[in-house]
Amino acid sequence: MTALTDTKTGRALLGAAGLLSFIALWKCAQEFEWVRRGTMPDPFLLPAALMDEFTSGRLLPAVGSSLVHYVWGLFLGSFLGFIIGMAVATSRGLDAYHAWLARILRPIPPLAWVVFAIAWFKVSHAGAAFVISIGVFWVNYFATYSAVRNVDPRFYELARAFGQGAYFKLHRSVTLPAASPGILSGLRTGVGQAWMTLIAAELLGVPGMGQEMNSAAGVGAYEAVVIYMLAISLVYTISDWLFSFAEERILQWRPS
Amino acid sequence: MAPVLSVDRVSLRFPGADQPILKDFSLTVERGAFIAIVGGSGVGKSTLLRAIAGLLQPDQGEVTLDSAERPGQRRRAIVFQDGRLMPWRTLRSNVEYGLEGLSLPAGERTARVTEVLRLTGLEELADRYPHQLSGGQVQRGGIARALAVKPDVLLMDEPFSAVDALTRTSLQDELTQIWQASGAAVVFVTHDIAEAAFLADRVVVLSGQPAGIAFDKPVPVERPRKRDTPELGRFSDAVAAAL
Repeated sequence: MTALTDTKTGRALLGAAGLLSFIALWKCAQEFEWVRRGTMPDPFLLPAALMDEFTSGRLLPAVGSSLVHYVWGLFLGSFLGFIIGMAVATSRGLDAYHAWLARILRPIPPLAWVVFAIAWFKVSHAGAAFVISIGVFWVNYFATYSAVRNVDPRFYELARAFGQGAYFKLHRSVTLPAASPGILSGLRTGVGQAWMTLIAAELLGVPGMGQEMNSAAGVGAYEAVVIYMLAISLVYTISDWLFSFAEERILQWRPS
Repeated sequence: MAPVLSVDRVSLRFPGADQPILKDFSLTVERGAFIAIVGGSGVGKSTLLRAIAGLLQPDQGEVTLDSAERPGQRRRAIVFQDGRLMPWRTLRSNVEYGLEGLSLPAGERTARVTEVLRLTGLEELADRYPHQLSGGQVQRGGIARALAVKPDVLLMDEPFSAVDALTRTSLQDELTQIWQASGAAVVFVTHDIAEAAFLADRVVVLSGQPAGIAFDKPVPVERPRKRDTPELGRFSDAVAAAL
């Protein structure tokens, strides 16, 4: 006898069943008022809520605005995190020079910077991108730093033996490719981390999906809140998928 | 014949060690000769080889190469025990690695890579990644990479110790041909006495702390050699006695 989990269709059936039972449970919670009346969205009203958000012209601009923050914050944070992580991991001097500073700044949660984001950039795209980039920066900084530190030193010996021991030759021919799996996994973590900070930053006032969620909640339109939550999930899934596709291309040398 | 390589009163101590691993150590290698260095583990064979390769700086004494550095060439090249191909490069690209710092025209570079891949029997596998190669193929790749830079001295650090016995035998036969074709001098470090006797013109035994030369004699057997020649056996016994 073959178990249900042995076939693709079987696993898909199980997945669909899990999803449906969640919706049923949710509907019960709403129907039998397990929480305060009016605060539990009705899952059956979601399609209507989606149409409403879409036709009222709120959904797409909010998604677009969030994507602008997201792309800029992600790009800046990843780029700086990678460059600085690389520089301090490959230079003992820089490593010691920045060590105390990093120890002090690192524990500050990105959202704590919202105060300055608003003070410096007002409520703007730049402010949101700034806050996002801080979270993404640390993720990439640490991923790059530890990946570079863990490069097998035997490859450095090889590089010196074959005349590639100068700083740029060494790190281009050994460090970058050898550390690339770790660096890429940092980038990928950043792709997810950016969404977390993004929505939180927008809840504090910058236009985007977070702000739309906040204002919908303010008038008790919890179905609309769920629509934005699902939109976030969808956009994240797409970006993660795109990323994993690129990663697979770059790391094709690895044994699968 | 004039020596191509001279190790002159070299002393080397690792930081924190109370005894130097090499002290006033001297050795010369003739142009085109095949020297095997034999010794127990930890005696300093690999250290000596790394000092010759320029990867370790002696505290005293010097390593001199008596040859002018020609363009498009490195005077020394090393083959590591673990093969050490870069897993992110294809075999072809690994073999090309040593040529990347040399100013060679692109055509010449490709020709060199093709030539050494053919010499080591790897042409068909050139586009594979290291994880798709066997242990013996990885070692051949390491040898091809070293040969590509046309070295005067080829340094080999127990290159066949990590492969199975059958592969080792065929690699030894191939190495003899490759060495004769290349004209390079070979310094071959091993702990396998029979391997040293079969391959080398001259066998040097290292022993003691700091390491000294306990035995240094030419192998009295003409080439091409057969493994079961009685003279090789007698010579191996003499080497073993010195260890």
